[in-house]
Amino acid sequence: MPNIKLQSSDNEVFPVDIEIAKCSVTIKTMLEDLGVDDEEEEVVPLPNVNSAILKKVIQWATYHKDDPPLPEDDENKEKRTDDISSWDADFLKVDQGTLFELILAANYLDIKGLLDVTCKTVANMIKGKSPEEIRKTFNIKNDFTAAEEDQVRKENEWCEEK
Amino acid sequence: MIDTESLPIETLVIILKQIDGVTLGKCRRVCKKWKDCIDGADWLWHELCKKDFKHSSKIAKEKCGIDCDWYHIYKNLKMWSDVTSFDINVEEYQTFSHHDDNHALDIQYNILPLRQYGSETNMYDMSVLKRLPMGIRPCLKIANNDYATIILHKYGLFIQKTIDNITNMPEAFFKADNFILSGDTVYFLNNRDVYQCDIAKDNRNMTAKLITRCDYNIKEIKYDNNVLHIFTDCGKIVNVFKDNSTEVKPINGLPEWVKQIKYVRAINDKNFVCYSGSFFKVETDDYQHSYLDFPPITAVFFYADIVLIGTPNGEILLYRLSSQKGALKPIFENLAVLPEGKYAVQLDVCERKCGPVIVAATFFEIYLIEIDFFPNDKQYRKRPKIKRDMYKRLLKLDQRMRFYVSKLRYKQAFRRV
Repeated sequence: MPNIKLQSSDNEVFPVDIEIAKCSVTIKTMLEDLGVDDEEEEVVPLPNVNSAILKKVIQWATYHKDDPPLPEDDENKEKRTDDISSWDADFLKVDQGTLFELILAANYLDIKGLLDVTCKTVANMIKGKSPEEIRKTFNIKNDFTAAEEDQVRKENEWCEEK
Repeated sequence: MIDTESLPIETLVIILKQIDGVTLGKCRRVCKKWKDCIDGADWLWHELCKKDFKHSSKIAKEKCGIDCDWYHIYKNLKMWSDVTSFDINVEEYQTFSHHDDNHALDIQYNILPLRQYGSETNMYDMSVLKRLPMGIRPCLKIANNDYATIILHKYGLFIQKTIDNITNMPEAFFKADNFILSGDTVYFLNNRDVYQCDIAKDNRNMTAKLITRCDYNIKEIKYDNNVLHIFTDCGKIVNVFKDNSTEVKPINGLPEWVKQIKYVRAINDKNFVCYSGSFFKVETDDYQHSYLDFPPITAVFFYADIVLIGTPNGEILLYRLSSQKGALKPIFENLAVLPEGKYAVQLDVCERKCGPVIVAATFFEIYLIEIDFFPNDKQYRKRPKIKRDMYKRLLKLDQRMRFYVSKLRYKQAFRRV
């Protein structure tokens, strides 16, 4: 199988099977637009992804290389967040910083499957929590003034526990 | 290190898209960035509406038009599960001098048209409950989208569009008995012929083409998911597909009852309510009930998961489809009672930011039943520009109808001679 080389922001080069690299729509269109020959060994620079994250992304893509393509958003299909495979769940047992960096990388590289599963993982960390618990989980500062907070609380009575 | 603060809005939105409505509501309280992100992405609530209230949210949106965001529709539909725990206020709104069982025309695009025999049809803005500054000729149905207004008059259908200014307003007139507006397309009936007319914004030549000839009398038409659904008075559903091929299927039930359908309200061929005599049938994606000895009904509003029912005693009852499981007799919740001796012959519901308004029309009065789920949201003054365009269209339509109607009357008189 022909390889291509992906270069991370910190200049580390990763040789990757071209079919695996193409699970990233960004890389796929880049290769098509450039008309890169399969024979040549091209280096694709990815200035938005560091080597630690790129390594994880390649690991994920290699494991999922034979997955059937994801269906387009179907109106009638119910969205679920509890359908994360155990391999993915293990793969995503990382610190929050890494998880968010994976989301950014998946978004930049346009890898729908990885973006889905990482966002679902974060969504599961939010579900069922109170606003204060959410802030604590993600270390978010409450930047509402007292008056603003009062206002949002009033607007939010419908979804808060009585 | 990257945290939620440095996460771009577009990725935060993808995360929030995976969350249920109640949690999404709570997320508005986390911090300003999250609140702005959620409030700026009303489509998140649209997605949730499609998931949790697939059909009722669509009905609600058609009724309230641009006056409610999906956020408000979601909150309101969520509160309906608890509706009887709120203060319910019945108030007389209008009285008429003539007896009629069709004073209230369908609410659509936040407009309630009220008609009275022999005089003009007045229109009321549902969010402020005030009369609009114009009336039009007596008519049977009014529909709007963001740039077109359609009026059904006993002589036919008048269509008026807004392109960019008042001097450039394309119009069309067709002979018709009934119509529905779905997105950019109008479907209308002339006797048993069904026509289609494309009224897309940039289409200047509105021409109609015949799509099918129905073999039966038509009670109700609906367009959903690329299929036109025609309900006939003999209990058949005719589906017309995009390629104009048709399929006929009967409504399941005792043939002698479904053969003489008195009333149908439908969303599509799988979601409808109908009755004939004391036979009552409701069918949705999740539920199917039919009763042979249903209590007498004087009016019905079909809201997908619930049905509002008017009785001869003046009660407005709530028939919740999810509550009927395994019950031999229908189970009702009491919503409101009209004053002594009055009963509803028409029921309609329009959501507002503060909660729903139920319109109950009797033979001589219009009663409004207001339920304030969110009393703090009650203030509302501004009329958006898009509505001013509609006012202009209505004024123009009224002029045109005067013109056409006198012409048609003249023609008819001439023919008689």
